[in-house]
Amino acid sequence: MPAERTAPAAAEILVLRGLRKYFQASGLAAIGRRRPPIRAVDGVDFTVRRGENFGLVGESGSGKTTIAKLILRLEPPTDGEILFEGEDVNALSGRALKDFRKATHVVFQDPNSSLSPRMRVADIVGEPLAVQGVRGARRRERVAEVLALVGLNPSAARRYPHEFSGGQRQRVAVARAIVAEPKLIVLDEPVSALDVSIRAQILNLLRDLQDRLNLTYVTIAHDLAVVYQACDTIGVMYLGKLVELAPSEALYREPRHPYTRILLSAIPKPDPRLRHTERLPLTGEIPSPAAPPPGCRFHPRCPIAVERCAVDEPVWRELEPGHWVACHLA
Amino acid sequence: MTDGVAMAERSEQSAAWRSGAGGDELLIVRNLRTHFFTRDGAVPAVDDISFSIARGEVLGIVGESGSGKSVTARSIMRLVPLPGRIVSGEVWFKGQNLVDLTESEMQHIRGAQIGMVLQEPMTSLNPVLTIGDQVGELYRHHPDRAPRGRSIRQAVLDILARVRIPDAARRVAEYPLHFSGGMRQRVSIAMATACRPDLVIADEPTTALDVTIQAQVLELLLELRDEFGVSVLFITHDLGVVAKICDSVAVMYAGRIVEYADVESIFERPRHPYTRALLRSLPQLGKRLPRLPSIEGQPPDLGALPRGCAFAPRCPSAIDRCREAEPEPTAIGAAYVRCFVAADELLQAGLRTTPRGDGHAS
Repeated sequence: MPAERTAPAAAEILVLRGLRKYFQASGLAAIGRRRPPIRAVDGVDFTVRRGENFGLVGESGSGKTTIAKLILRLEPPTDGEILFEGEDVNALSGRALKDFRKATHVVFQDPNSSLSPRMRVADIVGEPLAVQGVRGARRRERVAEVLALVGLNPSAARRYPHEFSGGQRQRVAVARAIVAEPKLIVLDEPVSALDVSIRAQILNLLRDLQDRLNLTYVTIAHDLAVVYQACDTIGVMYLGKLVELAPSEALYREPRHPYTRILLSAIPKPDPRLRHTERLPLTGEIPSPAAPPPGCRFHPRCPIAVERCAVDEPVWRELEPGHWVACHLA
Repeated sequence: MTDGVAMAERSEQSAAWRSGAGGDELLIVRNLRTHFFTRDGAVPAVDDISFSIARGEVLGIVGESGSGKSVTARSIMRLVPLPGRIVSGEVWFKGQNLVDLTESEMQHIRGAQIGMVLQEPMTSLNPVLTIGDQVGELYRHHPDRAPRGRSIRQAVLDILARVRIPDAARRVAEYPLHFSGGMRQRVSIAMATACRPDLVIADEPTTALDVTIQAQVLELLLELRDEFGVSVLFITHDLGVVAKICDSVAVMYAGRIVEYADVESIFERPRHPYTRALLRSLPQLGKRLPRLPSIEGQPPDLGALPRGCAFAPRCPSAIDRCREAEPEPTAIGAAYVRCFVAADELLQAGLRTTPRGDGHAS
């Protein structure tokens, strides 16, 4: 679609359509038997607008991290497509693929394991530039520039990751993510490994950088309060599918899916006066993604499920502009 | 100043909290110091902390990594790893000072009278023993604690049913590997409470769990408290969890308890600037802000603490005195705060007449 290439300012920067990712069990678990595949992502559609912070929440096993890998083209999808600025990410090759790699970056949860302990900060942050062939003084200057942008001292460049605290290491990871001037950054649990007093610093830094550098974020997190604070739109995942998607405020004020309501009520509020407010009951545990329940996959744990929920899979529909839900009863 | 009157009234409420002090205190920690002796010198991981837990009380210890909350738990259990050592202080538990006990005396207390639940249940569960065997092992170790008139198998099934492991009769034969994270933590809680302990120390027990599972585990802990009157020392960095389950709170920073009070006081009228800043910086549902009020700077290196108050370099209220001398605890009834500025505020509000720095509430 060449027309879209000449109009890069289109409102939609990222589109996921019918996205699926199945994993075949491997290793010891696969010996002797043929198991059904794990349906980590099982039909997900959403659109990320340029300049927004799009949040994906869900509990472990919901598929949110797999989506991050698919968006970054670290894994090929089993089915469906991902369009970045109108182009199918998985059809890219050569120069176009290189441009895509430059335009997207990622910040992981744990800066201790995502930063090489044997490289100096200058080399860690400068690496994405080195890959593009940017060398010498130009690279050094750019590294110094982004270190300042993330609030680190210029002397940080000569030091090693272990010389920094967790919060400062996450600043290094952010510097590395922005150094090559990407358009889209995937933030995978960006603050959950950090101390409480540091989280607000990093969330504020990410927001400042987004405004200054016109970045688009996809934030993946299990902490709904963090996502609510940071993101413009929130998608809630359960067992490989989106169950609800809405502007943050609408999702919090008027959650339409029972799972979203349960998730919101399970978060302990920092107010002891609210301690006796009843939590919506959620029984059991998330089923295996290798054998998701028929019909609505949340129905065995849903407090309001009716017969139909066990048979028909709910359609992903837009209740109000921008507010999507997959529930027969919404 | 209606405000001052209101504060004075509230302070009476605060004083009422702990009015039973002395009679019903299960655990009293006094001036405990645990230091680590490294090549670079002594590191004061826990430095002069005091608090107590009544029977049936849930005390939360809140702090960031390195604040000393886990070392506090390990000191009570007398499980401080080398090169750490309890340097001074007392840990009174049911009339005994645990600091003075021999290792074999401690073994009668650990697991039997004090149970422990850790963040990652796999570290406390034995991967090569079935669930039934490892829970049963506790009763073999502490036969006096096994329920009378029940076989060990029956007792194990009872306790697994109590923590609501579904289909316990079948699952006792399975290994920890076969259990989900939430179910493993239920097994850990079963083990920590199997011998009907007086105290359970829970060190970030729900941090690795999903929020819906966390809610189930917290409710389970409260049920056990209500049913058996067990006291809980709950270590966490999550202020939401504290608000949900704790009766009282000790806020730790750089090895010290900087504020200690009942849970309502901590959340409704925090005295220490660190507690205040921490509460303000929390992302909260229903309160979207363009920017979160953040605490600048980094937590200090315990091996190179600044002179004066350890929080002073990050503190928005710090005055010169804070950088020169270390504040002693100022008592507000049974609660206390370690802060010069807070002490002055209390003095002005008429909540204190004695000068600051007069030590702990006894």
